[in-house]
Amino acid sequence: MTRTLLGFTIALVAALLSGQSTASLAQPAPAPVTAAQPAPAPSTTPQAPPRETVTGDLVQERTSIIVPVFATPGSVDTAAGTTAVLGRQIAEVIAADLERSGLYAPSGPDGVRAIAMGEVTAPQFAGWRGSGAESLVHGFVRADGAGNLTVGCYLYDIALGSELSRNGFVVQPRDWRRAAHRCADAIYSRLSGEAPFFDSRIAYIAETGPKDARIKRLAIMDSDGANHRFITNGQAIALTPRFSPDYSRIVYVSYLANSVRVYVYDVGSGTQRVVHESSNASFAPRWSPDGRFILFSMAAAGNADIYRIPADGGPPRRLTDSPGIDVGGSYSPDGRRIVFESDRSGAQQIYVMNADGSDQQRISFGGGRYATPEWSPRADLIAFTRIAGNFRIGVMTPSGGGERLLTDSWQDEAPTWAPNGRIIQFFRTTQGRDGRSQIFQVDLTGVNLRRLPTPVDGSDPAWGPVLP
Amino acid sequence: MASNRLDRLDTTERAGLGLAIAAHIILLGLLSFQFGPSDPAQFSNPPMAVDIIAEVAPVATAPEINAAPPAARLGDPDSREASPPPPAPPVPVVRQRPPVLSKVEPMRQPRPTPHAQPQRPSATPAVNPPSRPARDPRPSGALDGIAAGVARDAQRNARAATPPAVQSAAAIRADIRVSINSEVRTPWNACRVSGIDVDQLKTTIVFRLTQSGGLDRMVSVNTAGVNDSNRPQLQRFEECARRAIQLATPFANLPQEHYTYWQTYTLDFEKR
Repeated sequence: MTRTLLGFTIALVAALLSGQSTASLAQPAPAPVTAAQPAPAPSTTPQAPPRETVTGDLVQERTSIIVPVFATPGSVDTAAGTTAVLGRQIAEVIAADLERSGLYAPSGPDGVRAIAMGEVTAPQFAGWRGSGAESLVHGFVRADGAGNLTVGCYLYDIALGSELSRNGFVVQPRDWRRAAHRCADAIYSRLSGEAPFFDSRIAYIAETGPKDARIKRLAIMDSDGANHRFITNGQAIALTPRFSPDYSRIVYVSYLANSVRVYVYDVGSGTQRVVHESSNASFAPRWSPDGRFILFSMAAAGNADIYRIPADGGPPRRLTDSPGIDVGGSYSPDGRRIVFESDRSGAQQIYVMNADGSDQQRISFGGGRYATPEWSPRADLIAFTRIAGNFRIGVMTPSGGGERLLTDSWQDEAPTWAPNGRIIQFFRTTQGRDGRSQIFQVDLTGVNLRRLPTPVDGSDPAWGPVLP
Repeated sequence: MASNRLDRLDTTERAGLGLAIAAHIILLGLLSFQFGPSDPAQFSNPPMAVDIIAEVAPVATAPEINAAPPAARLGDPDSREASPPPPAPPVPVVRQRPPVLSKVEPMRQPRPTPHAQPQRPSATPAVNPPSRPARDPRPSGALDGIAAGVARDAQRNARAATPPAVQSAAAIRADIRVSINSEVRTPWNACRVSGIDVDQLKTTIVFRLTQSGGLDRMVSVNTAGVNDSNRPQLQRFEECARRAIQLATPFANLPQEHYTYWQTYTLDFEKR
C-alpha cells in the first residue's frame, strides 16, 4: 500500500517537470560506463597465448666435465707405452686442455671411477648424475696389428643421457698427444661452437740471462707447452717468429753484431736460410696467407717502411712511402688487405691498406698509441697493443669500431691469434729490473686469462694454425 | 519569475498542480500512520563496535573512481571452434635414451637429433588445430582491435579490467609463469654459452605440452640477434634452450582445468 502511493507521487512530480525533461526521461537512459561490466566470462582461462622470457646469467660457473681414464680392450705394449698407461695419459691431456680454455672445470682422470670398455658407448648415466657434472667424456685406446693407435672419443650430456659427439683418431703411438688434443678440440668445438685450436703449435722467443745481456732463442712447442724444443742456440738475438701457414717454415729476425737478417727456418729439415739481409733495422716479418710472400719493416735514415719479399728471397718491394714510421704489416686472411701501424699523424696509430699498398686509411682514433696490429684468422677483428700509460691488449673491427681492451697489466704486448680467432696470446713483462717476461693468453671475453707455462721466460709468441 | 510562470499555466495545469499538492498532503498524512503488521527493527548484521583511532587513515582505502574505459574484451568472446579436441589421457612422460650403439666404431654415425627423434604419439593427433588457429573470417562482433585504441597504457588497462573473471585469469597466468619459468631457468643457466655478442641472441621456442605437463613436441625454434661474431654460438645457444625445456618438463603444478591455455607455450631464452 505504501509503495503504491509512493509510486503515484513520483509520477505526479514527474508530470510537473517541463516538456523537454519529460522527453529526455522518456528515452531509455544510456547506461553509465561503469555499469557496463559484462557478465563474467563462462571460463576464466586467460586468452592471450602464454609467452614469457627466461633470462639466464651470462657469467656462469665453468661447465663441469668428467673425464675418466680411457678404457682399453686389453693392455698392449706400444712404442709409447702400454695402452692402459696411454689411456690415463690421454685423459690427463684432455682434462688439462679443457681446463686451460677457461670454459670448463674438468674432473678426472684422478679421483674418478675408471670405466670398462663396454661403458664407452653405453655410459652409466644414473651413476654419473650424482656428481652434478654437465658433461661426460668417455673414450678408449686400442692398438692394432700394424702398430697404430686408435683413440675413440665420446662426449655425452649427463642430464639428458644423450650423446653429443663421437670421434676416432688413428695415430702413430708417438703422436698420442695429438690424438688427445684432437679429442679435446672435438669436445671444445661441440660445447662452445668455436673452431678447434688445441692441436696447434706455438713458436716464441725463449729468454734467459739478465736484462742487459739477454739471450733470446727461437723455440717451438705444442699449444699446451709440451714437446718443447729450442731452434736457435742463442748466439744471435732472435725476434718476432711466425709460422708459415702450412707449419713447414718459421720466419724470424736475427740480430748478430751489426747485421740484421730475416731467416726462414725449415722445421722438417732443421735448416734455415737468409731471405733478406741489411745493416738497417728490420723487424716484424709476417707471412702472406698463401705462404708465397713475407712482409717486413725496414728502417733507413729515420724513416721506416713496409716491404714485401718473396718467401724464397728476392728483391723487396716497398709498399708504403710516407715520411713517418710505417711498421708491422699483417695480412687479412684473404690476403687482400694489410693492417699496419704508422706515426704519420704524430703518434702511432693503426692503418689498413690494400695488399699492393694503395688506399691507406687510418682506423684507430683513440687516445695514446696503438701498435703491433694483427689480423684475426677469422677476419672479423684486429688485435693490437694499446699504449696509454701501460701496455694493454685490445681488439677492434677492421673498420676501427668496437674497440675493447682485454687485459690490464703493466706491460702486455705483441698479440697473436689462436687458429680459431677466439683466443689471443701475448707476452707480459713485469715491472722492475727483475721483471720477467711470460706468455699469457686471454679469450675475447677478457675473462679467461691464463699463463702458458714455459721452461724459461718467453716473449713474442706466434700461434700457428691447427695442425694438418 | 515564479508568479509569471504560474500566470502562464492553463486551467488543466492548475488543476494538476492542485491535485499534486493535495496528493502530497494526503501522502504525508498517510505516511504518518503505520499500516500492516509492524516489524520490530532488525539488523541483518549485528552491530559492531567501531573504534576511531585517527582522523585520517595512513592509506586511503576508498575505492578509486576508475576513469579508464573497460577492457575491450573480458572473456571468451565467442567460442567458434568446433568442439575442442577431446583431451587425450595424459601421456606418461618417458625420457628418450639415445639408441645404444653396440659396435665400438670410431666412425661418425647418424645420431638421433631432437628433431629426428621418433615422435611420441601426439596427445591430440590429426584433429589438432594449428597452434594458433587462423582467425575466423566471419564477423564476430567482438570489435577486435578496439583494445588497441582505448588501452594505450597497458598497465592502466590491466587495472581497469578488474571483473572477477579476468582477475583470476591474470592470477592463473602468473601462477603458470612462476611454475614454468623457475623450472626452465635452472637448466638454462647451467648450459654455458660463451663468446662475443651472445647477449644479443634470443631464442624463441614454441612448444606443446601434454595434459600431464610433459613435453609433447617443439613446434618451432627461432633465434634473433645473430651476427658474424656470435654465429658460431647459435647452434649451442639453441641447443641449450631446447635442452632446458627437455630437462624442465614435465612441469608439475599446472592447473589441469586450464590445459587449453598452457597447451601451447612460447618461451624466449636470453642470457644477460
